[in-house]
Order: sequence, then C-alpha cells, then structure tokens
Amino acid sequence: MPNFTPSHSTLHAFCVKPNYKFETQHVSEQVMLVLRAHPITQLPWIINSVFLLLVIFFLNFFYINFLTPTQIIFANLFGLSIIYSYILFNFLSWYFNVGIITNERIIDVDFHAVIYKEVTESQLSKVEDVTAKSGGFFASIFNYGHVFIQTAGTNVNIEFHNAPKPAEVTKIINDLVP
Amino acid sequence: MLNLSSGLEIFNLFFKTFSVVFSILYLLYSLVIYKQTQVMTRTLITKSNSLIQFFALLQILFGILLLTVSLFIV
Repeated sequence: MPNFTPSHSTLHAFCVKPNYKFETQHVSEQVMLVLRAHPITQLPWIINSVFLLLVIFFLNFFYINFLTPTQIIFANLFGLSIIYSYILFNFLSWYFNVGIITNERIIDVDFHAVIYKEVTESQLSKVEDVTAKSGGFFASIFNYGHVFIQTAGTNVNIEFHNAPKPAEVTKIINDLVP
Repeated sequence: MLNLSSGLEIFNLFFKTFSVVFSILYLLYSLVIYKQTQVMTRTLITKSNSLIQFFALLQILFGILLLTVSLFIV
C-alpha cells in the first residue's frame, strides 16, 4: 500500500488521511482521502450572500418612508435570517457532499438539497477504470475537475464532481487498487 | 373590531399576517435542517461537527426570535 503523508485542516477540500470517520466504516478500514468540491466552485453563493447583505442594508433607506420602526426591525431580522439560512444550506451541501477513499472502498456521499441522502460505494477490487476530466478557464487555473470511477458488472459508477487535483486523485486510486 | 377604513391599517394587518406566517414557516424549515444536520454529522464524523450543529441550532433560535417579534412586537 502506498505511504500517504496526512495533510488536512478543517475547510480543506483535498484531505489526505484526515481524522474523519464515517457511518459504515469497518473496524480495520482507514480513510485515505476525503474529497469535496474545490472551494472556488462555491464562490457564486458567497458572492450572492454578500450582495444580498448589501441589498438588505440599502433597503433600509427605502423602508424608512413607509414602515414603522418595529416593522423595519422585523424586515431586517427576516432578511438576515434568510441570508443566514442560505449560507448554512450551501455550506452544509458543500461540507457533507464528500467522496471518501479508504484502503478498502470508494464511497460517494451526496446530500441533494440537503434533505435527500444518497450513498454510493464500491470495493476497490471492483474498480475497472478511473478517468479524470478537467476543462474550462477556472478549472485549468485552480486545478479541479471531475473524476469518474467505472466499476465492474452492475455496480453503480462513482463520480466526484469538481474535485481538486483530479490527476492526483486518479493516481491515488490507481495506487490503492489491488 | 378592527377598523379597516384606512389603507395604512390594511397594510399593517397584511404585514402582521405575513410576518407571523413566514416566521412559522421559517421555524419549521430550521427544525428540518437541524434534524438533517444530525443525519449529516452521523454520516461523516469530523472534529467540527459540534460547531456545525451549533450553527444549525442558531437557525432555530433565529426562527423563535422571528416568531416572538412577529407575534408580540410588530
């Protein structure tokens, strides 16, 4: 088995041997790599949040003409709550949609719209082909892309979208496959 | 009996209704997200999970605050 040097911090998207555990982990199973979408792909919702905060701030100049002070307080609280929920929702979607590569299996955990959970897994011995695809301006600059893992027989194929360093992910999987 | 003769009072009644209804919906949404956060933190166990659950709980507190403000202050 290849020797991996642990490299991980809380908001990393490419975590080598992190101190993570998962629900269906076997006793002797070791987490080798955990992947999330590259942080740059999360930029749209971060920009939207900042924009919405500015909108709420400037709306106050408009409210003052026709709302009472208590109504203005409520409108601001409501707006801030919505933005907070928007940020939390997107953060949770990013943080918990992970690809886990262990010394035994490859697991893809997807939470669609936070409330739908889908876990796909495949034994490393069933992996037939690993493909990394990267294309586009940002993907080239920030080195991220999609990793497609084709498995034998009727097993479901696994896909990691917008994973950082797709070529390195491919290499790691190929090194782990027996 | 409410005097709905002026447009301002109709607007205030509309605002009150809107604020109560949306606060209840927000509170229900935050409860669902809190429950789902628990499912997520069980699926992937990391050191930051308690902090994430705290942020989800904070959303419920926001919901309770909104409902309180909409019922008693607006």
